[in-house]
Amino acid sequence: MEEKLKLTREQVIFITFIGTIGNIVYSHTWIVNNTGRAEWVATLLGILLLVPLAIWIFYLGKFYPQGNIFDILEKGLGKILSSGLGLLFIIINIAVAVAQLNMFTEMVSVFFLQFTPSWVNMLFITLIGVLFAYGGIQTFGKLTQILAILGVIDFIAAFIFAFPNVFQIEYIIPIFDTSLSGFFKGTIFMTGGAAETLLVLMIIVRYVPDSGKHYMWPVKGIALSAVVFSSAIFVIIGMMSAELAKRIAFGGVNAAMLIQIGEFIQGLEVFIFGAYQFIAIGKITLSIYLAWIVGKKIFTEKKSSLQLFIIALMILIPSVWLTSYNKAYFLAIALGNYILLPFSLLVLLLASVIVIIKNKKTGRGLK
Amino acid sequence: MLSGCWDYEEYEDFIQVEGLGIDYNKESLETRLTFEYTPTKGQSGKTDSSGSSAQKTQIVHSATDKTLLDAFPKLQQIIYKKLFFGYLKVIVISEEAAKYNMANIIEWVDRTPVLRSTVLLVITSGTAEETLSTLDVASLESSSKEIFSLINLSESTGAAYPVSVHNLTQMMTIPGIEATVPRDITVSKKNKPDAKGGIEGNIKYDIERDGDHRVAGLAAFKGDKFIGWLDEKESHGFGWITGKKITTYKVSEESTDTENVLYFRVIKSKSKIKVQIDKDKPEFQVNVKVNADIRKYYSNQGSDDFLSIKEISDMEKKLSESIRSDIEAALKRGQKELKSDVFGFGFALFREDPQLWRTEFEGKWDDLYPDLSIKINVEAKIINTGTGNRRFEFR
Repeated sequence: MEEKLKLTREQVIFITFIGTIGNIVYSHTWIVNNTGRAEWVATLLGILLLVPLAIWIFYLGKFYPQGNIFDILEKGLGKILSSGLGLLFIIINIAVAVAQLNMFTEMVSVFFLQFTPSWVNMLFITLIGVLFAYGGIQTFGKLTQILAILGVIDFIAAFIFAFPNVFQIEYIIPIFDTSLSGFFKGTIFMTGGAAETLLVLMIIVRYVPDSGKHYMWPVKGIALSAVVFSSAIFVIIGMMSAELAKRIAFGGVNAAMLIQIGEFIQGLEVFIFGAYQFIAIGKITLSIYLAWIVGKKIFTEKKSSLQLFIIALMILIPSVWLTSYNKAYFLAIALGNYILLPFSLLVLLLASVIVIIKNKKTGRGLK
Repeated sequence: MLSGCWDYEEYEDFIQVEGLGIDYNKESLETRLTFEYTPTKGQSGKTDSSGSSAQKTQIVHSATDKTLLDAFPKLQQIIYKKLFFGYLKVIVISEEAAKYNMANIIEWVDRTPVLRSTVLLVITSGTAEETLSTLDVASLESSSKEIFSLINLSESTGAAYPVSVHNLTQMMTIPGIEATVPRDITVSKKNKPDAKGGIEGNIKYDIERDGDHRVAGLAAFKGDKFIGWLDEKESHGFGWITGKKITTYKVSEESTDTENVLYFRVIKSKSKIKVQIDKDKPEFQVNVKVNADIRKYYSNQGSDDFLSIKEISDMEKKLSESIRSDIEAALKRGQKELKSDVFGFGFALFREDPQLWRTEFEGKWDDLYPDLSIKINVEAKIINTGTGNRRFEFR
């Protein structure tokens, strides 16, 4: 039964890891004009800035152990207002999934399957996402442990060969060749882009035993994603230079194409492609699952399978309609710049106010 | 599995293009595209009188049209299998194309995923069509494979250096450095290659001529335009300044006194460009460190049997003077004549102080660069005297 379901520490860490590394694997190039060579530092700091917000979510979770953040909102704001926020949450998750699906399938189109219609790949990924989401968060949590580790192994397998010939330290040092305001802008964008993970934490906090005590679990996941992703950018900039790295559409795949061992061994980008595939499957599954959970809350638990199917269609249809890498890129930029972080902050502020008021009234947490 | 159905191809349905040539005619504004590929056994098609088939080493076709992308489908129309560029070895660009059409070429090559950025580039003073169609009949390799091998070997001689599409785009986008590309020199008794398969309008079929290739010298760019050549000595100097891994033979500079000329074998070379900013004025130092062996020492001077420490020290001095002479030649050509910062002094300044570079120097670097003060320090060390440590005595 779902109420009794509890996630382990590793599952929370890796779900947080996958939740953080989403659209930013493509949209990180947005900040290079601001951050210059310090892009990897801005990425590291930007993602780590999510730590207090993650702790905040888990702190709120301890006041309502049987529910998620939207349950707290419902207790305080009532059904209608909380449903409104819930619908917004669903739409944001759909937008995140649409952007991710488009950018990933267009990457497949550019490098590998040029004649395969994009909708085929989108359908395939969405179906997988539906299957995993239907299996429940605990099954998916176990799966993300494998997906995340395979993704990191793929990344190392490709980029290890960048040393020593392709990687140039001259492209890294000096690290800071930009203004403080530019660096700050880039950092904040990365915080906004990585804030996809806060959407995840708002829902899975319910499944964490004693969330107030175990706030370090998502912190570790965020720290892991910050280190892994910033080191990926570090390697990309070291291989290409910041001036070239900002042009690339597909991050590590473009960079891995530069690696050649001898005259014949090339094509190591297939490993990076594997890592991006795991990210895409993880993100789409999470987006479907999160939207589904909140949807069940708004529209009741009846016919939840049908709701899951409708959520999947609501992701697939706009994705197919969009079918454009560039439009999806700018959608991800807009989400990172203007939507994810402000929405998360709004939800957390409202939930905090509700908790404070309820505490004052009852002298103890929400029931 | 299903998603692969649309893209399923049999490998036998591909032709592996190994060499790509681009020419440009500045009068007619037309581009000529040349493909070179090695046919498989079935594709070469020639049989001699005994009935056995002779394997052709390469097939070269060319097509001319308004732009690269207009010429491309013309070539696909005459090559009966799908063109596959995954193992493209070399892109040959003519001098004229490098002067007038480089930006279009680089933008196309960089953006097209099937053309890998690890492909090597070479500039030719003739035409790319002539270069790719020139075949060394004594060699079993196609022209592009030969040029590819020559480019890779050239670094050790110091006469040129491998530059890939990726390296070129880096040099063209990174501030404070201009691009260089190795030069291919094609030699043949015939002026023009023969189109053995005929000519139809702007398409030439099966172009061929006997000859050979040499990769020596560098093409220097300013922005996206080719502006001049660096000869072998200047390329050597370029290599010493930019820290290329030169392992080559070197002689001391007494060209009129060949008896006392020394032969060296350079084992290791390293260099660093140091920048000092004094009252907002940059001063550059090129520090080169070289380790070498002696390969020829014959002298009827001196009385000692062994090569003494003093004599070794004199030889080190002569080696460093020879290297210095290469560097001065390169600087004279690159800095004073071509006025193009191919050595990366601007990039070194940017790394030293990025803010100062951006605010004070980047905008006016083209004006400042020719008058920069550059000090040269060469430290040469002879680590052994080959298989003997005494002078050769003739009786």
